Amino acid sequence: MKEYKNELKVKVNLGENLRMSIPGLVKKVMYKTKYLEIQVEKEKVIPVLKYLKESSKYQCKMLLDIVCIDCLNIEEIKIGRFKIIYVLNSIYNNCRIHLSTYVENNGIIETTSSLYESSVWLEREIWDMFGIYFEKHPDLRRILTDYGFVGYPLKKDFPITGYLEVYYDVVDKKIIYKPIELMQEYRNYNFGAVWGDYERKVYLENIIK
Amino acid sequence: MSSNMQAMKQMRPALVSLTNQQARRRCFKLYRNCIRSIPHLIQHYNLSYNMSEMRTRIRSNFVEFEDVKEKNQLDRLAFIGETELFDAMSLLKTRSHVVNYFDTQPISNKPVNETEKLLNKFFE
Repeated sequence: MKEYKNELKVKVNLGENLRMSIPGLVKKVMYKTKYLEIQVEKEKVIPVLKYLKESSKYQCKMLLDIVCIDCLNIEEIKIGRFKIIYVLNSIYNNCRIHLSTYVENNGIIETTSSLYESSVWLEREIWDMFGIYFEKHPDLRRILTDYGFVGYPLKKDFPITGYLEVYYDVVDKKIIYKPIELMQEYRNYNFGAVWGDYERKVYLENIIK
Repeated sequence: MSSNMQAMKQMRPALVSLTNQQARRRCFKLYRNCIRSIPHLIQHYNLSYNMSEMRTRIRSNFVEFEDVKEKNQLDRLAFIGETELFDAMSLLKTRSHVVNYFDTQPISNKPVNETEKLLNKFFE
């Protein structure tokens, strides 16, 4: 309990200090159990990251991961289509800091590869999977998908079947790619309903009656 | 031509244009490079298309995005085009990729006339 209180104290201290030291740049500071979350505008990511990396109080010298979330069909879409989270680690404070911003569809954001070397591959992955363009990136190429792959596979509006079909042609002795042809129309299921949702509804209605 | 081939094959970093004019020029350069690459594509991938057909197909892809005026979006689209051209020219794609590209027609976003709309639905 005491340790937890200490951790919380450190986090609140860090958050408040950030608010005081760079007041115009930070939009929101949230205190979570395991980490500190900072929300910023997408134009202000670089200055905030630079501050977090270089100020003696934070010393976030490790970029562990860049996470991207497609916000289609959830509430956060009002702010922006994609949420990008930079997961930073500060060994000095024994604390993790998440820096999050929102980007629109087919959006553009500046690369952080000048600050963190590890972000080169992470950004390549996000470009490959979500189609977010990182300007000034030194080496923006595909990393996981095949050459000639169509679309961005981790977007929520990407069809589960994909756009192309791959098979080995015995006569040509080659792998052939052709546009996919389905025997029947792809069915749209109602994904909103969770298991036991209907039963719960009926049960509640009975109680109200 | 050989120097131009080299330029086409060179991988470009995600550059940023300073002005709108520069971004436009980049797109025109890409268009010119695409048109110039047609004979090479025919030779490498053993294609059996008419040259003018291929030219109109490539052109239609550029016309599709003629409404885009924003500098950054132009950069993004040009970068996608450059990588596609690079993949095709350096034989990273297979023949079926290129054939698929020239077989399909892009979806036109242009509004249809009232009369055309009526005629399209005539038999329904």
